[in-house]
Amino acid sequence: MVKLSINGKQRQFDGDPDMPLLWLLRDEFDLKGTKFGCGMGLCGACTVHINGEPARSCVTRAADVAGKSITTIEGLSPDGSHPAQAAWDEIDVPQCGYCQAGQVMTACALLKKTPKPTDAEIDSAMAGNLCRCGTYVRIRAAVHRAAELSSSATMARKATGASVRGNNEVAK
Amino acid sequence: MNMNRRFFLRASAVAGGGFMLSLVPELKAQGFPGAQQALLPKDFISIAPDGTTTLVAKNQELGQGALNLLPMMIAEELDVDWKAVRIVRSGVGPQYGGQITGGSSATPSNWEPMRRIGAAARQMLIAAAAQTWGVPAEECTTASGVVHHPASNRSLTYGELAAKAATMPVPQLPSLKLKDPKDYKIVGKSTAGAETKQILTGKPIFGIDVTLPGMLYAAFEKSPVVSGRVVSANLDAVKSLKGVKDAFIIEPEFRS
Repeated sequence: MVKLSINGKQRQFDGDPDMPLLWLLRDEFDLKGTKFGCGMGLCGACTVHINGEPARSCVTRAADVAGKSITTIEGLSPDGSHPAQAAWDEIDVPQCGYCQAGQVMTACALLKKTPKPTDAEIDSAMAGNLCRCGTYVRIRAAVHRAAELSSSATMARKATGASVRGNNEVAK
Repeated sequence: MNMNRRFFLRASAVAGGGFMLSLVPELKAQGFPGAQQALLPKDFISIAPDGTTTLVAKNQELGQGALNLLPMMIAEELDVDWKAVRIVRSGVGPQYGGQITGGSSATPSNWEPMRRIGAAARQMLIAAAAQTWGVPAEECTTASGVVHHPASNRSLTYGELAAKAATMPVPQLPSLKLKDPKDYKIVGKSTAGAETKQILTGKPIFGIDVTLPGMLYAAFEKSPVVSGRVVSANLDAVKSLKGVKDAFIIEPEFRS
């Protein structure tokens, strides 16, 4: 029996402990936002956060996330208003969109550690997330924009005590 | 075989030529005229009383923007404001003609048919307005989802006309006059992705996300060599795994 937290909800799983986290999320808990790309940890489409760190769910066993806290694209915000989602929307990053959940999750993890990343820091952090459509230029712009939205939201929150969500809408 | 650069180029040329040939029936199937079934405005356009215009994107989205492009062609000739447009996927059906996105065929092959669909619906809206006002259709103009009769300074929105327009005869598509490209308001402009918000919130919009009642998943272990045959397989062990319904060997169809 594996017990874990997914997007803030306590969950348990009594199937094969070797099942990759990706399929646990998609098939057991019906969270289809996390994508299967290569199944070998090479493309980044399956990126989720494990205790806040970006990880490839396709090569992470269910047993290895026991007691841990998982965040998927569905858990970033209740309504798509996370600064990264807002920035991605504003810049209209996706084409086919298949890799973008993974891209957004990797970017969020970067921004948590590096609130104002340089181009080089973005390229380095995002290098493991492939995009067949070639949306890399817009991804980089969106990471910069997400950084702006995050910092303006933080400043506004400090000034007024308002919620991040409300301020993102103002910032847009 | 030694796949050197020269060989590669030659093989590409052949593959490219073959591909171009294979596009011919595809173009015919998607195109107009020559489509096996006439495309009808009702399968592509619906206008709500508030003017919200739902346009059907009949070709698949693979990242090229087909989901936007085809509705943009319809909207251009329909003469609606792009802000009033909602894009929906068509699903699959013979009423949509060819639905393949690939080989750079979706845009050129749908360029004329989609515009004619939009122009046909516009003409039906004009006919509805002209009949309502008792004026010749030729005296009516359109702009951003409204039919005007300048001579009498009257206007009706597409939303107000939609129900009546649906009862008007569908014009012959080849007879319709299309816009001069210099008058384009939507085609040639950048439009936001139709499914961007769904993509960014992880909504199940991809083929891999579809689940059906009783659906099973199949996994296929391919032979590492051409025409390889299975020597042994632990099928009973596989079948005994939790959740596994069956395991079996597929014999190769062609053997060298």
